[in-house]
Amino acid sequence: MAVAEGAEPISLEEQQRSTPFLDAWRLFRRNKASLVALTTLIIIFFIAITAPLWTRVGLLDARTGAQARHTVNPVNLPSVDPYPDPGSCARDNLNSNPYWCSWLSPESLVTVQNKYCFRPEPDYSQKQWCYVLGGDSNGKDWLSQTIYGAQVSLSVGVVGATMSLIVGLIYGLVSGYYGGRIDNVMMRIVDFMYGFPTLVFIILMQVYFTEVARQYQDTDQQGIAGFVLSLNKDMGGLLFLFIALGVLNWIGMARQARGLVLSYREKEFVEAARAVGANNRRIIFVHLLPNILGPLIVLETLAIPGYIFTEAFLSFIGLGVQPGTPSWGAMISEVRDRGGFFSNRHILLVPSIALVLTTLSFNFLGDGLRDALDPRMRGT
Amino acid sequence: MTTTTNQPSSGIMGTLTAGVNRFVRMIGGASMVKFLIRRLLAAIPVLFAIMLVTFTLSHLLPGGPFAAVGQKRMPEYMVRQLEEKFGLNKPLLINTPSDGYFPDGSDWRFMGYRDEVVTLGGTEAGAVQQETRRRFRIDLLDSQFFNYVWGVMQLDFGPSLNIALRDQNVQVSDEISKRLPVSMQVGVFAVILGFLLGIPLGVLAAVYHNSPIDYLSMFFAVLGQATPAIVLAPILIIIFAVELGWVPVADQRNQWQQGPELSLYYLQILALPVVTLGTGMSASIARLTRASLLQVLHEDYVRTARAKGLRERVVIYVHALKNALIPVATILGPLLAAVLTGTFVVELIFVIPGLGKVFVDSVTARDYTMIMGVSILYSIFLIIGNIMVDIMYTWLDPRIRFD
Amino acid sequence: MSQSMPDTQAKSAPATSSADGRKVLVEVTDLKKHFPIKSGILFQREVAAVKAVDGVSFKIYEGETLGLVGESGCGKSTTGRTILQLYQPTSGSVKFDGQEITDLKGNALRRMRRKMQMVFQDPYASLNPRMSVGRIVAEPLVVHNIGTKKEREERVAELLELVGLNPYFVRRYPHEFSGGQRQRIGLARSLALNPKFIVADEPISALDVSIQAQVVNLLEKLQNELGLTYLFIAHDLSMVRHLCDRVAVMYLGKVVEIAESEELYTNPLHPYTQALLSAVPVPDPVVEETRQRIILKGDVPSPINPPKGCNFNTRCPVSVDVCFDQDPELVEILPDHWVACHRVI
Repeated sequence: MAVAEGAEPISLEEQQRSTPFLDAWRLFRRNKASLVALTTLIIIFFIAITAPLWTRVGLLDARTGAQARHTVNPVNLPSVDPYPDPGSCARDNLNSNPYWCSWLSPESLVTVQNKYCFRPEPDYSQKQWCYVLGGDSNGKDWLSQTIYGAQVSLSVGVVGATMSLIVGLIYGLVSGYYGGRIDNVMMRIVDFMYGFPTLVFIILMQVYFTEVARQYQDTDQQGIAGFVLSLNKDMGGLLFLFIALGVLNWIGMARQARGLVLSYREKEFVEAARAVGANNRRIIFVHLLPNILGPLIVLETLAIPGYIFTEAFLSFIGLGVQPGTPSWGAMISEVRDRGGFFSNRHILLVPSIALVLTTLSFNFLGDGLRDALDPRMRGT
Repeated sequence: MTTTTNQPSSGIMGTLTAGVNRFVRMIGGASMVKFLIRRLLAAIPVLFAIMLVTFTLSHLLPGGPFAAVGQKRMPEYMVRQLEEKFGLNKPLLINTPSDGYFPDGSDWRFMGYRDEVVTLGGTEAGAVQQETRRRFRIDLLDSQFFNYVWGVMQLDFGPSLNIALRDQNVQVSDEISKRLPVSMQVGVFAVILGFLLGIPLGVLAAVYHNSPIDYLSMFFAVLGQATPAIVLAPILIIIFAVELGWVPVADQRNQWQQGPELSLYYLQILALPVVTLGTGMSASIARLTRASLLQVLHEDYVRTARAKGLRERVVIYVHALKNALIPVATILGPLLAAVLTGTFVVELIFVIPGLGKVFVDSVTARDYTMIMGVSILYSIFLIIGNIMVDIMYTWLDPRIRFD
Repeated sequence: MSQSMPDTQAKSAPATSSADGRKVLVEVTDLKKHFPIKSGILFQREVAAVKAVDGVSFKIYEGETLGLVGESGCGKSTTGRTILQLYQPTSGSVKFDGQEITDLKGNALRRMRRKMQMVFQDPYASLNPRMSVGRIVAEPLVVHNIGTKKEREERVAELLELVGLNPYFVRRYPHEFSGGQRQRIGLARSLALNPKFIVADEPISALDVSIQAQVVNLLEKLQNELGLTYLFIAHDLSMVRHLCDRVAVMYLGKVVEIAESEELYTNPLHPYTQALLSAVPVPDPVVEETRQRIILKGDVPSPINPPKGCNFNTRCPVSVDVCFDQDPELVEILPDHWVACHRVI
C-alpha cells in the first residue's frame, strides 16, 4: 500500500536517536551547574563508600578515630592547645623532653608553650601521621571523620528519600487510582497526619531510641528486639534514625503522588488504554508509573537536603547517631562544647564546608533533574 | 452600652447580622465559612491523636520527672508522694478494673458519683478549709491521659513537673505564655527579613534574566537554602561576635524576656538569630518571586502594557510585580511551619530562652505536662498554617472552590 | 421530569428498519450517565448529580457514519464513552450486534472491546509520552495477547502504512510528531484489533484546518476499505455534513433530532437545530448576505438542575405552556426524521 498523501516525507536513516531517557539526558546536560553537582556528588559518594579501603591502606584514620590516637601534644598540660592544626604531623612514641624542661615551673611552661618542652622527639621507626585538615582534642583526624561523616549524611539522605518515595508512591497510587471511598479514607489519614509537628515527634522518638539503645548497650537481648538493637549498634544508631525520620516524611510525598495520579488518570492515553482492555495493573505500571516517577524523583532529590539537615541538627544536639560515630552535625557541635569559636576554626569549617557542598550539590542536581524530567515545572 | 440604650434591640441585632454578613462575604462567602468549620472540626481529632501519640511517646521514655534531684536520687517514699500529688500513680491510658485504682477505696464502677475532697482557700500545706463533694465520675476514664484531656478541654494544661519549677507551682500555660513571645520575636523578625531580602533579590534576578546578576542572585539563593542554621550560626558568631565584636555571643541582660524595644542592645542580640533564620527564608522567597515574575512577564497583559509604550520600570513595578507577588503570598503558610522548626534550631544554638529550649529541657526532665503543652501548641500553629494555605489559594485563584 | 418517559421513549425509538435490509450494529436505549457531586462536613455524601447523558436512544447501522453534534458540554463525548463502557452507565441499555454490553464484566468486556474502539480528541494527550510509537500501536495486541513478538511487529508496520505513516517510525516517540501524524498513530492503535465500530470523539477539532481534511479523508478511506462503522462526534457542522450519513443533534444530555444528513441540513425541524444550523456560514456571498441568524437567548442551563419539561424551554423562541410541563418524546415526524419537540407535529 502506498503511503497516503499528507504524510511528511522523512529520511529513512535515523537522525538523532530520541527516547525519553536520551531527551532527559540532553536537557540535563544543558544545565552546567547540575552537571558539576552530579560530578561532585559522584566523587563524594565514591570517597564515602571506599573509605574503609583507604583506612586499610593507611591513608585514612579508622571510623571511630581509634587508630590515630597519636599523642601530638602532651595532654597533661592543661593550657596547651590540644587541637592538632591542619597540616601538622606527628609520630607515635614520644621520646623524653630536653633535660632542662624539668627546671621550669608549670607557669613558665605555659608561656614558652610547647615550643621547646614536650616537643616530642620523633621516633623515626614509627610511621608519621599527618593531620591534613587538623583534628580534635582527642586526636581524631578531622579529614577521616569528615569522610566517614559523609557516609552518615549520604545514607540518611538517600535512605530517607528512597523510603519516603516508595511509601508515598504506593500510597498515592492506590489512593489516587482507585479513588472513591478508599481515596477518601486514605487522604483523611494523610490530612490527619499533616498536622503532626514532625520535628517534635522526631525528637521524642530519638530520645526514646537513644535511651533504649543505651540501656541495652551491654546486655544481650534475644529475638527480634535483640537483632534490631544489635543492628542499630552496628550501624552506629542509624537504624533508629531512619525509623524516626521515615515515620512521618512520606506524607508530603503521598499527597504529591496522589495529585499526579489524579491528573494523569484523566488523561486520554489512560482512557485509550482502558478502551483497548488494559487491566488496572497494566495501566498503573505501564501508563501511570513511568509518567509520575520523574516529577516525584525531582521532588525527592530536592528533599534530600532536608533529611541531611535534620540528621545534622539531631546529632548537633546529641540526639542523632551514637556517640563515637562520625557525623557532621556532631563534629560541628564540638565548636560549641570546646570553645572552637575563638581558635581552631577548622573544627567548624571542615564539616561545615562538607555539609554545604553536599546539600548545595543535591539542590543543583534537583534543579537539573527538574529541567530534564519535569518540563512543566521548568524555571520555578 | 449607655449609648445604645435608646436604640431598639432589633437594630443592634440588625447591625450585628449585617456585620456578620459582611465578614462572611469578606472571607469568601458561605462556602468558605463551611470550609473553615469543616477544617476546624477536623482539627479536633487531629489534636486528640497528637495528644495520644505525644503522651505515649513521653511516657515510654525511661525514668520519670521525680527520679532525681540534681545528681542525687530521690528517696522512694518522696517519689511516691509526689506521684500521688500530681496524679501520676493513676493508670496511663484507661483505668480498667484490673488496674485496681479506685479513688475513694470503693469498687470499680463504670460510672457513678464519688466523694472528692476539695481544698478551699489557704496554701496546699495548710488548707484553711476542706470540703467533701460528690462528683460524677467515669471510672474507666479516670486515667492520667483522660484527666489531662479533660483539663485541656477546660484550657487547663496542668502544672509543670520539672523539679526546678515544681516548687514554685509553675503552670504550663504560664510558662508557655512567657516563652512564646520570645520565640515569636525571632520568628516574626526573621519572616520580615526574609521578605525584605527575598523579594528584591527575586525581582532583580527576573528583571535581569539570564544575566550575571540573575546567576549570582540565584546562586546566593541556592547557597542560602543549602546552608543549615547549625553551619550559618557558628560562622556568624565567629565573624560578628568574636572577630568584629559587634554583637554579644549571647544575651546577658535577660533582654529576650523583656521583649522588643528600640535599643542598640536589643538589635545586637536580635541580629544573628534573625539573620540565621531569615537567610534561608529569603532564599526560597527569592526563587519563588523570580519564577513568578518571569512567568508574569510573558503574559499578554504585560506585553500590552509594553505595547502601549509604558516605560519598562512602570511595566515591571506596576503591572507585573503586583500580580507576580500573589503566588509568593501563598508561601506564608509553609513559612509558618518553617518558622516553628527554624526557631527551634536557632534557639538551641543561640541559647535563647524560647519554646524550643523549653521543649528540649522538658524532654530531658521528663516534664510530661510541658512536653504535651508545647507539642499541642506547635500542632495548633501547624494546623492553622495548613488552613491558611488553603484559604490563600481560594482568595488568589477564584477557580478553586470548596464544594 | 415525567416518570413515564423512559418507557415511552424506548417505544418510540427509531425502528430497526430491517425491512430495507440495513443491519443495526449499535442500539442505544434510554442511556443515562449521571456523575455524582459529593459534599459534606466530615463524611462525603452524594448531594446532586451532573446529568451529562439523560435518556439517549438511537441506532447505528452497520457501515454508516452517525454524526453526533451539539454545543460543548451537552454530553456528546460522555455518550460516546458510555457506549464503549468507559463510563459505567447509570441506567439504560447498549446493544452491540444484538448483545447487551452494559452488564459485561472482566474478560467478557475485554473481548467485546476488541470490536469497538475509540479515537480521541486531543492528539497530544491521547498518546503516552513515555512509549514509542511501536509500543503504542502494539498495545492492544499485547493486552489481548495476540501473536508473537515478530507477528506484532509486522502488524504494527502494516497498520502504520494503512494510516499513511512510514513504518520506520516505530521507534520514535509521540512528541516528535505533528498533531495530524499523532492522530494517525491513534487511529492505527484503534485499528489494531480489527474493530467493527469506532467512536471518533472530535478527532479533528484540535487539528489545523489543512490537516483536518487529510484526517477526514483517511477516515473515509478506512471505512471503505475495512467496512467500519463510525460514531463521529463533532461540533463542526460542515464537516459532519460532508462525512456523515445520518446526524443526531444533542442538547443538554438529550437527543433532540435525528435525520439523514441532507434531510437535517435542508429541513431542520427542532428550533435548536435551526438555531445551530443558522450559525453555519454559507460559502456563497449572495446567500450569506441574506442569511438569517437565530440568536438564542441566555446560556445552557446547568446539567445538575435541568429545567422541568422540555430542557430547551429556557432558550426556545417558540416555547408554549406545554413545553414547561412535559418532556417531549422523540417521534418520527417524517420518514427517518425524528424530532423531540411539542411544536413540531
